Amino acid sequence: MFGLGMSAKVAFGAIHGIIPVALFTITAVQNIRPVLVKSARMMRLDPLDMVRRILLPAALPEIFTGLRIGFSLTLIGTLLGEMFASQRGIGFLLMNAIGLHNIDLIMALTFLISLFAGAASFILLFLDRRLYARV
Amino acid sequence: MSATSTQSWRNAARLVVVVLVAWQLAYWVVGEVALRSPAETLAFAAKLVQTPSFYAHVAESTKAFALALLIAVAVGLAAGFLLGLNRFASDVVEPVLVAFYSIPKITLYYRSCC
Repeated sequence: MFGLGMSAKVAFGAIHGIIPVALFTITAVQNIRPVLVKSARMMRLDPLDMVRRILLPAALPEIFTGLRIGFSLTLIGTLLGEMFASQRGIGFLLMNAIGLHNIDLIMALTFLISLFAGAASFILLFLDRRLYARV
Repeated sequence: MSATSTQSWRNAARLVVVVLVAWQLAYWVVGEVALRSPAETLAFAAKLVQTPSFYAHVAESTKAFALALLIAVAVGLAAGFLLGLNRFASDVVEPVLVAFYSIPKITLYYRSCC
């Protein structure tokens, strides 16, 4: 549908990321105390204010958990998309190295990707814990 | 630094040590055919990040990842807020989302490789 190249990678990454973000946000919004949503409706807040003043502050920790999982899945999706439908990028470099049995390059790329993913995950988990501790 | 934060640092350090030891052991068992030792990998990675062509690939990947993340967060949050406020709509759509979530998306590539 998106052919090869940039749009394919972005689309493939995005479909991995959208669903966990959406699922976690749905659950988070449903778990908000009903009185908050009812008062907001009674005050006739428009949708943007509703999100900004009620939903986001009240459900931030759970939404952030969804964003954290969405982050990792989007990273996986983008790299997978690059491995199969791209001529540039880290995923393509990795697939090329696998094809050429260039073990040095495979190991170095895997190491660098894991380093990035691990560091990002650690930072996001740290922020996540702080959000939950605040509530 | 609180107690849980110190704990999580300690756990992360422990994980890194365990992975490195397992990696080195696996290297000794498997040998040069399929693995490189952690030290060799580090040395090669240090050389790799200095080559200019590597930067072009990293820039491409970063751009794709940033765009994908932006779309995922924007669409995901919008869908989540809309469906979360409407109980009926979320009852209808959520099972579909969960089903789609559990599909390995790579199967959607009808001819992925080979």
